[in-house]
Amino acid sequence: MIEMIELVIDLLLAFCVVLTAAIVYTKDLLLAVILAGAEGVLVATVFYLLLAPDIALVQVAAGVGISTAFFIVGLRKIGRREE
Amino acid sequence: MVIVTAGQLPYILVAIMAAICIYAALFKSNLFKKMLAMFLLTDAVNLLFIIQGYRIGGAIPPIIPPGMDPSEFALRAVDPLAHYFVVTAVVIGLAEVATLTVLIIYTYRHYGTIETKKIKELRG
Amino acid sequence: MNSWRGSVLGVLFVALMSSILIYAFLGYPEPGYVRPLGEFYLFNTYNFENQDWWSASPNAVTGLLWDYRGYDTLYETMVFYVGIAAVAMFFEGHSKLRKTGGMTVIVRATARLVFVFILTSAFAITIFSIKTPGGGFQGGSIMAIAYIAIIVSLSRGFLPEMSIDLEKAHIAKIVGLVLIAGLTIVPVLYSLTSGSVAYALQNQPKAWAPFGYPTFLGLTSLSGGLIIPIQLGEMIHVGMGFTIMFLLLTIKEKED
Repeated sequence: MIEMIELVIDLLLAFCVVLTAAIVYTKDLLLAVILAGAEGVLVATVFYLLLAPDIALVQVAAGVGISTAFFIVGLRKIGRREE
Repeated sequence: MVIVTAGQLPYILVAIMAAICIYAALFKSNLFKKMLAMFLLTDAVNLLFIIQGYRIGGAIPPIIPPGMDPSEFALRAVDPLAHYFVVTAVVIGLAEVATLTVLIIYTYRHYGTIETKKIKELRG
Repeated sequence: MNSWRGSVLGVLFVALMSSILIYAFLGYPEPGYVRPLGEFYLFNTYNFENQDWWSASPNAVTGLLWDYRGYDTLYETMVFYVGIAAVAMFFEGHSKLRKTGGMTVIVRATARLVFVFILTSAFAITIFSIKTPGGGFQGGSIMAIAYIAIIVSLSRGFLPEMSIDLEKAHIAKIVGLVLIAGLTIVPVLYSLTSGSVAYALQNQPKAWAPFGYPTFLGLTSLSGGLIIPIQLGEMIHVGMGFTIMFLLLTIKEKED
């Protein structure tokens, strides 16, 4: 019997798969970094719906905040936009 | 033959996400794309751990509320061992990303490009 | 024509890899089955009848991190320290500091105000980690975000005025590590001087090893034993480590 929460988790995971395919396909590196940050937020929401509040805190702080900052600072020193 | 039921759909979606990340890490020629694919691969594997530890039939998070019987808590709470591994794995993954970024900057300073096809031609 | 062949090959590879992975992941049983070790930790973590094997924290994940699996977390702290050393090895020399630049006045004033709030929130998440979700890693990551907001919005010439210097960050990180190491060794020194059995990283007294950190303030409020002070050390270590890595990455080179 499928409950309501399972439907929402399946929807969010399908959206994560679509975002991953878009990150691999695009040629603009800045867009890829921002989409990776968006995917981090979706993964944190899935962690919260699966009753894991400790991990949602670490994912939001480290996977969305600090990781995007590192990537953008690294992109300044490399050929900036196109692949 | 493997029987697939509707309750195992999250496993299938996580497997597709991991397969796309492995393809990007092997076949794309830009070093920055490879590093981004490794970062998303650790995300997918952490999701797998947490999905496996869920409990059906009235689950509660692994924090015992005041006044609950320990045996009933052990029958209903989510697996805490999976949470423990994922917390350390996320922080270590971030340290790995920082080290890889520094290595890519170093390679760019030395060769002048970050495409593996052009680095093979240079042979500096 | 070559791009069509490349993309068809890519889709075939993804299909093959995902079928292998689906076959591997479906070997897990349906959600609902918990390992017996997980049930042991859940049953014994706040059990008043079995005070030989309890860790006095209602949060099972925090009790696992620093009481039942304390050695694993200690070695993971060492791995993180080696990662910071690897990043610090690549950047040698100092940059010239300019006092101009940075962002507009509104961003700078907001960053200074938000810095205090984020630090207080990180501190609160770490201290109350026995009863609510939280802990050292969570608090450390949030503390690093406060410092990163300051570094991004101010120019690099202003940073020594706000006492964010590279040497001071290194010293603060070492203070956190010394706190962790000191709390690990205290039971060993106690057992050497008094002749009874005590283990390193021991949290609660057992029937055969009567050493324990203070657990109850008064009669009803928990004070955390070993877990709260050692998580403060971990928060300082992780937060300062991320700050050092970010400070090193923003050194200006000649062609920027």
